[in-house]
Amino acid sequence: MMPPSENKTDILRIEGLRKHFPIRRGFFQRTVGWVRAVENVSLAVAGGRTLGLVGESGCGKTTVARMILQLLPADGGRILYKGTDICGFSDQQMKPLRREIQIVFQDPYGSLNPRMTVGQTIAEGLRMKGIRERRRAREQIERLLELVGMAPAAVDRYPHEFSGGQRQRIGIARALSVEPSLVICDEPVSALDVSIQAQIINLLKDLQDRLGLSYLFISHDLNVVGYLCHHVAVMYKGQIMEYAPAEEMFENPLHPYTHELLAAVPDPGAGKKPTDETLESERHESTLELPEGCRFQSKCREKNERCRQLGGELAFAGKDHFVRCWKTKPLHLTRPELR
Amino acid sequence: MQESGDIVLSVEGLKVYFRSEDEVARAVDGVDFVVRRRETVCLVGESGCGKTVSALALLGLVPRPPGEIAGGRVRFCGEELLGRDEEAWQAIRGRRIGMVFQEPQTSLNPVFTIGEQLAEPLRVHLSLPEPAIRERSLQLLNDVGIDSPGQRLADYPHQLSGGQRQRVMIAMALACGPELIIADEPTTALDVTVQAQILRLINRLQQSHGMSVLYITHDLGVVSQIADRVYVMYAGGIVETATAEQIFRNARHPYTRGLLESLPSRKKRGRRLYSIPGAVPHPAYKPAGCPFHPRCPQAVGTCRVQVPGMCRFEDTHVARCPVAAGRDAEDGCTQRT
Repeated sequence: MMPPSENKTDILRIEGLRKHFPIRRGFFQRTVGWVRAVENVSLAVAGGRTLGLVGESGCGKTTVARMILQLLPADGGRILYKGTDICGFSDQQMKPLRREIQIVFQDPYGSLNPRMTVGQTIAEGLRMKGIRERRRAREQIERLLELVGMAPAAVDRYPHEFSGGQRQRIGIARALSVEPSLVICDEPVSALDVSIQAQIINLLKDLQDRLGLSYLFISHDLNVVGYLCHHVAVMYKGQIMEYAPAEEMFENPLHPYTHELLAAVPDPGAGKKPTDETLESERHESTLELPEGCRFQSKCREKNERCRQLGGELAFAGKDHFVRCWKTKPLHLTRPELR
Repeated sequence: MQESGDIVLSVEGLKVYFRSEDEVARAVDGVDFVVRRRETVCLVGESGCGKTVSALALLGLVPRPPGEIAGGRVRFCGEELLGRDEEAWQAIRGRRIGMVFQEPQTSLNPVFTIGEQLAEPLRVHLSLPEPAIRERSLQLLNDVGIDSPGQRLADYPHQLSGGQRQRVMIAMALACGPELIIADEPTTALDVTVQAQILRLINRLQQSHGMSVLYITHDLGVVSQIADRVYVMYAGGIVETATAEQIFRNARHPYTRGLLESLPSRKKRGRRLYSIPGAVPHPAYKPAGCPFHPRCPQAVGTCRVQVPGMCRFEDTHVARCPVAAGRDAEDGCTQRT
């Protein structure tokens, strides 16, 4: 396994992360198989930067996020936060880190407690930081609301009084209340309307510039990722298929799956695509059984016999650029496969 | 204007209101559009702009109460649709107008097989005998690119992927050879690669079957991949209409321009994204005058009091903004109060 090159400025490094879920069947719920949801994932988020994690639904993006937050135990690998491996940390050990690593969720409707005012929601974070005195807390809350572009008067109102975009701002203010260094953004703009999306994207960018935040930005929207992220990791069926600086990923994609993703990105103004002569059919495949060798082989346009044996390795393909496809690096053919 | 024989669907001044105890939400408030033969028309707008309610009204599916068709005409192949009874609707819905909805998970019945669900429209509308139903079902699944259709007929919806379920929905919409397909955000819940396949499939079927498609979406990227002509909706009304090419090359209404400018892309890296200030108004509390004026960078005094008329910019390009046209509302713009 070859993780992204080591760098002292990395705030988060993930090495060989693994998560397998058991498939249970029958009366005694015997384990009959395993879903290899995350397999040997390595990533790095540099301080003050944004790493985009992209891939289709069910590819394991959110599972990775939950493992970083220790909401889900990892089955293997290391999660290094500022150099310390936090895998297997107890709740007690995680407590100080929960202030450092925060998350902004996709659904601004489901992620705020409807029975708590905006002020109460944000004050929870402040209490963790040790701010209990009422007047000081109120000052802080108003400052946070201002930071995310909301009027201080919102303090005493309830989530249902706000639109989706405003709720997402409240969610961001809540995350920022503990002054985190790393914010995991799990599809933070997907549920928002176009005109509101731009407001939230600008806000995330401003906050990064002002507070030096690092983001792990999980998204399926390559237009947003291309705009916002410094590095991009493409995930497919639990594995990182390609990792590169954003510019490089868009200019010089190497993995056939990345090619396919980029080709599918809607480009407003590109015009109606001519219909091609051949009808593409969708193959029926089980999500539980993964093929031997490359996990993308069944959908790959360039596959051949070798893909059944090779494809397990993330290989160096240029400066800061890694790809999991033996075709892009014919030299690797002679090397034994590393799993 | 092309001759009227070419028009499959024409909607004039459609109004759909929702009444509650103390307010009236004017969800659709005077909408006009036409769909011609063999044409894909996109109705695009943000959530709450009235695009889905318009589609439901075309199909006689607005829940009453609280909904109410408060006015307008909807003509399909020359026949008036509004004011019909349920029986008359059933002769049209699913037979001459096919429908595809957003979530294939919820619009397919989980307790029936794909085969049983595909057979229903064929049995009800076309009264086909059983052997012919199976043959036609296989043909339909084949047309929408589902592999080994014989096996899929016996599958239940949960055994298929999201993309396959949406293909089945499209097959069901096509079952009776409709003249028009209404598709409401059919790809929103799908992954980008699957979305691209479904859009290509719709384009292909539209050409091979010679159908018209009314495609409803909030996604301008999707619009550019599928539309011949576009209607942009805002707060219950049409604000701009043009060919897809004109919309992307030279949008005129400040709302459409704002939407296009606020789209993120890697080409805009390092630059601040434009964002339309404020939020979409609640359908029960729309501002007076032009409903977009509180968010509009170009608004002038008259925008606050007078509902602007439609102004012609080019042939086939019309926008509800006299300011963008550089004229007073009375000059060259049809006024609507």
